[in-house]
Amino acid sequence: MIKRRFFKIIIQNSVSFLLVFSFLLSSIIFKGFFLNKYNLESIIFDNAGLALLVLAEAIVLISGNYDLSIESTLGISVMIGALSIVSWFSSIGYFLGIIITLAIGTIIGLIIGYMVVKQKINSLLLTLSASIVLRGFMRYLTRGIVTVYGLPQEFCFSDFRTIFNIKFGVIVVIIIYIFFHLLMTKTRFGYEVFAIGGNKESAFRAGISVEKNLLIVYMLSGFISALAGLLMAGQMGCVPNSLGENMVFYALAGSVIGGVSLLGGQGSIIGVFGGFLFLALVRNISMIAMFSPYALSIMQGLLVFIAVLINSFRGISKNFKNY
Amino acid sequence: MITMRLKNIVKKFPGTIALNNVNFILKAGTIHGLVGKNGAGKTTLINVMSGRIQTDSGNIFLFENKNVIRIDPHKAIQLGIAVVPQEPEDIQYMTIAQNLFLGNWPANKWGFVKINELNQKARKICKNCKLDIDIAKNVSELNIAERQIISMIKAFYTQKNRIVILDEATAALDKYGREEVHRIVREAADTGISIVYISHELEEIFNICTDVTVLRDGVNIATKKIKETNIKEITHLIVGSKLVNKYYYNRINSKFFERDKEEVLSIEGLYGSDVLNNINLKVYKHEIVGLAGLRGSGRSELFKSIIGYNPIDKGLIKVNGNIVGFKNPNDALKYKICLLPEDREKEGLFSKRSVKENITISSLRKFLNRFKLINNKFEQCNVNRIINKLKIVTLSFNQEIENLSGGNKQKVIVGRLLETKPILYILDEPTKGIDVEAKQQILRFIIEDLSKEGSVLIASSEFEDLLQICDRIILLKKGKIVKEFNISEIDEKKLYIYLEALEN
Repeated sequence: MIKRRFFKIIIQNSVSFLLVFSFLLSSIIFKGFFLNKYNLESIIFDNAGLALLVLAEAIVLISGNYDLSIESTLGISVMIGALSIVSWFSSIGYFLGIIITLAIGTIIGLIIGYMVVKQKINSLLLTLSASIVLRGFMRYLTRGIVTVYGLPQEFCFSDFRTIFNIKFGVIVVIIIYIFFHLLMTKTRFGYEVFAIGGNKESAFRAGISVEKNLLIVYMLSGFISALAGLLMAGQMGCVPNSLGENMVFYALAGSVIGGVSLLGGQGSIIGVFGGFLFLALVRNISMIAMFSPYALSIMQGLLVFIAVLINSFRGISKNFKNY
Repeated sequence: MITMRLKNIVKKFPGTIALNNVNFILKAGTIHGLVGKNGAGKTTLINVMSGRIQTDSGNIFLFENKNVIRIDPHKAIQLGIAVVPQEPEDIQYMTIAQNLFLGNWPANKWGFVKINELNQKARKICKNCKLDIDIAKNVSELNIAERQIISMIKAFYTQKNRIVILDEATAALDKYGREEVHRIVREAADTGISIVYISHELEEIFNICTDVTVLRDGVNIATKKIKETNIKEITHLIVGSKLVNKYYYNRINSKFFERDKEEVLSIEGLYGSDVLNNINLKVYKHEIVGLAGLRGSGRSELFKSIIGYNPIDKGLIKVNGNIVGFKNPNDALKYKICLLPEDREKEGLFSKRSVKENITISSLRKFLNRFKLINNKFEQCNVNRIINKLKIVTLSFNQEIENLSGGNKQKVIVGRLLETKPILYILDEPTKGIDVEAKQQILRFIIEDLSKEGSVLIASSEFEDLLQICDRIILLKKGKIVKEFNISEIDEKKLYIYLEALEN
């Protein structure tokens, strides 16, 4: 019994354990405490895109669905935004470019949400195919140009230094996280999304509008993905046509490590931030320690595996109750 | 005051009349018991009341209203008609307070939920029900009785329903959980809510209800006040005077079976699957043993434990005198024991595959040629033999199985078992949800063929079927064997009476 309880506690608080573990590990590697303000800022800033992408995935997972297309949504929306400033309509200015980017992301979310909700297509397969289509479309738009340069400085707003000399991208991440934390834990909408993820049928019978809420969830997810794309473009100063590629798996891993169940209805935004922080830390540590990129790739792959393992353990520890 | 009146309700399903001119009157503040055998039409009736199905003819009146009302599920919510099912419909990872006000959380104009108000309201409701429970707890931490109580309180007080149908809501609860539920239900009735109470256990009905209606074969046999009747009378009404033809098919092989009393399966002190409690059971060669028990009595769990689908906590299982511990159904198949699962669609069939594949899937090894490839001709020949033998109605053996009727699907699964040539057939509700003709064919088949080739262990909640075919009937209740009968010493009424009397 004691063993079971111990196991349960570890699994249920896996984020905190992993975070503490990785901080300790980093302290050993770098011989001293390596978390200071600048490092923390750079951890978040370097991975700002991932931070928001994890969030975008998490809210869809909480609602009991999948979204594998967020990485391509991220890429294509910011690509269209950048191209419209740089080449298509050169006079529209950075502000409209940003608006276009966010609008494209939201619209893609809306379309995917519509397909999932109204046409009742399996969200995993639908978003997988959508991801491939969007990525292809993005390549098609650039016509052989691998990277779009020459973005106006304002388009790269995430690199600005603002209050307390903190980069704007970091502030955006924190504000978005606080906003979504409030949205998911304090509002009716958040309650309804958790209820739908927990038991769609009961939620429907209780008079909750399942379709409307899921549609909004997908739109929000698309919006956040587009914003993530803007932050990444700002950080790099350009838009490569591989922007966001393969990031969805880390987004999934971050969500699951952060306590979101793949079955839906479970998780917290704070936990998700913890999950993201863990992934970012691992990357940061391995970069400072100058691991080979292949080793990093292996390690990140293993992290995704660990996330799935944690999810299945969580299922088991849930079943413990019944025995 | 009358809250609901059903007048001459008729509902036909293909092959049967589920409800035949049913009249039903529900008064305010009463707890109205609804009893009857499986297939008597209880479920259909409550589906009509809650608007989940539409009637073929007949009228529904609500709340002293002279106008006929057509109920659909959406309207049922507006009108205040709710069903509390056996399995609580709650959101596991939300707190009790959140669940109580599911979908109806108090919020300000910005959409922020007023958490304090929510908790206060929930606490007040729990206090009014004298329920000592921490409303900030997650529902996933509660036991089934507490969850069921929460669903009821939700239906009674937060949704303010006027008609609440409890559909075997207490079937999964133990004695204490039930007492708590009864208290809550009585208090709700005192506030003027009409309650329809469905239960298989008459003692419970007599304990709590004020009126009782008996359904049999889709007909309202009687509606009585509880004070004016007794368990014995109601039992008679439920079972009816129709004489069950015991030993319907005159077992040809009974002498054969008497002669060699050879043990095929022997279970000693089996515990497991949460419910099974010291099961001791023997099955002899060529014998048909029936397990009688209601939902939740542990029949399916026992069967699953025998074939190794569910783990065993304690106990011995012997097959032909050898101690075995099956880890999975494949092990059991090697010992030639196979199960016909209760849930045909979910656990039995490969619904997108053909009849042929569904029949031969367990016995493919038999059809391999020397290159270890499947000999199609041999396979088809065997399948045709099974189809003819079991009178399976299908266009060809290549037809997808989902296009067959329920009875034919069941026959296909019986055919699959037959192909593996087992020594023990375990049949879990083989006659559930199939039409009368197919049912008789399957019963006849069990007697004439299955029991000749091996022994049969069969469970059914329709006791008529068991009485028709079994040599021995074992009464199972809450995971315990309470009584064992030879077929000569039992009839259906006795079985029902035993089932009631051995409540505790």
